[in-house]
Amino acid sequence: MLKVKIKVDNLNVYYGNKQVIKDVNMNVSDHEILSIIGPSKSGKSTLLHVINRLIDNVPGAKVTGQVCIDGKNIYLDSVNVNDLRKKVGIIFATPVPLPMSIFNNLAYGPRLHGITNREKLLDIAENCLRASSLWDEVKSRLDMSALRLSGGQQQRLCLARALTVEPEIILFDEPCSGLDPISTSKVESTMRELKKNYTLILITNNTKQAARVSDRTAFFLFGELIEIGETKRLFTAPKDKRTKDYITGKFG
Amino acid sequence: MNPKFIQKIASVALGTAMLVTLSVLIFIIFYILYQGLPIVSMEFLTTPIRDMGKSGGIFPTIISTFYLAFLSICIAAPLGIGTAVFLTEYTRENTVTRVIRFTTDCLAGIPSIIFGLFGFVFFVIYLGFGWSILAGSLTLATMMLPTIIRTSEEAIRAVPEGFREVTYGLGGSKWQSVTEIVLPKAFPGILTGIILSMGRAVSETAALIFTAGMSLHTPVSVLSSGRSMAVHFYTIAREGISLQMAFGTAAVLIVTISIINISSYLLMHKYMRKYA
Ligand SMILES: Nc1ncnc2c1ncn2[C@@H]1O[C@H](COP(=O)(O)OP(=O)(O)O)[C@@H](O)[C@H]1O
Ligand SMILES: [Mg+2]
Repeated sequence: MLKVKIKVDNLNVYYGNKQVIKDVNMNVSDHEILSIIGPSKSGKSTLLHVINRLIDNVPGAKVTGQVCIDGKNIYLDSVNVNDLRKKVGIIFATPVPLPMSIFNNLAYGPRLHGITNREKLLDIAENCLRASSLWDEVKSRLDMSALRLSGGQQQRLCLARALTVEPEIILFDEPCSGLDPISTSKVESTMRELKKNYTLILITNNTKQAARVSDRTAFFLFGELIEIGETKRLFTAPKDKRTKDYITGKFG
Repeated sequence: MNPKFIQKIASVALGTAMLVTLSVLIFIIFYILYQGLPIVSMEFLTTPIRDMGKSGGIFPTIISTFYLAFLSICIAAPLGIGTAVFLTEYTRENTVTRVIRFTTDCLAGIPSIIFGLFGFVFFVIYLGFGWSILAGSLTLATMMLPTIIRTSEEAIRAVPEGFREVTYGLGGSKWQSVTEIVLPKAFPGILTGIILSMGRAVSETAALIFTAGMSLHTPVSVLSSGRSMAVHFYTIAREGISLQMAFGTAAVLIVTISIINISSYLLMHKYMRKYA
């Protein structure tokens, strides 16, 4: 049995009076890629925001239950949110390159944590760009504005940027929804590479993508975790009828 | 009438409106420059006022204007930007923020003479600053605050939420998000507000007569009285001391305001290119 990296127990999330996550229990193992599929508004993004506590910034949001990373409850008062978020990177559907050079985008995170040595920053930038398979495309123009990169390159830049602060977990919220097939396959192969060193959670509205990259898949429907299991098994022999309906395209 | 015809009428009407506005503006500026520039010389700019303004130069008023504008910005900008950051980043929208915002809007609509009266009673008399650059600057600063707060607020709100999340996502604090991303990105908008208020400070008269006084001398400290170019212009024009000197002062004033605007525009442009 693999080591459990993230453990979610009896998780409930409310926005005001509206419950958007209903009693979810699940584990994510170290070094696995877990896909989360499900129709929109099922609470998938909310789950990611719970795991890195970005949800703290949402007015009116309430979280009950437990989320543990490496066995430690991340909602305890003693937990430093900034350290947690350093450990849990997140990539959004729309890439958000900062309006500065490629290099400065990559130096941004380390600088936030006090690293200022330029050699060191360059080193980090190179390593992370290599890890996100962007190095060869940008190595000669690190001083160019990041906004001039293509959409697919911007997404990989955001990935590289997330890697600069040495996270252990990376959350992807529909990272390929705006990308063309070639960029998508680059991002996917990068994710498979990253698996060696990181734990990955991937929300995708593309069931084929889930099938291609992930070890296990979880199916969410209207805030409930309907089914979680080996990706291959879940797609070939779903246990729940609703899962089957979703993957055969009977829901939106 | 067919839509094409209406479209034509609309564009002619709008074009005319634009032309009328523009020509009035250009007329005013050129008239003043035409009347005033001939007497503007190095001597006019660098010598003291003589005979109550009938002769001599306007050196003291240039210095006073500079002091007043500079000092009032130094007071109003940090307070205004700080308030805007607090309202946008550090509080959630609630009754208190709405009251603050409403009050700010009301303040923006108050005539400057009222600020002058307040400044006179509070800074000049109560705090005992007398008619001085300090009292004048503090009064100007209170007048500028609403503009600076509202323009800064808008500029800060226009910064995409995603930029903040990038900072948080990398483990940065709220303060880091504000100083590293939000303020730099909002800077052009904030600067616009500051320039607008600076223009207001440079051209203010009513509030300053009550608070900075009308001394003809060059101020030597923040507690000296001093008249700004606008006050000088107002006085010598109203009292019929010298229309020519008044126009000369006005011309210098207009050139000053243009220089402020053009240079800040260039600065902003350069900055935006760097950050885009
Ligand atoms: N900041 C928010 N405030 C209030 N409701 C929200 C907020 N974010 C999401 N929701 C609601 O929570 C539900 C789940 O949303 P989300 O987690 O984004 O689902 P998914 O990612 O599966 O599409 C939706 O009904 C959405 O409208
Ligand atoms: Mg979502």
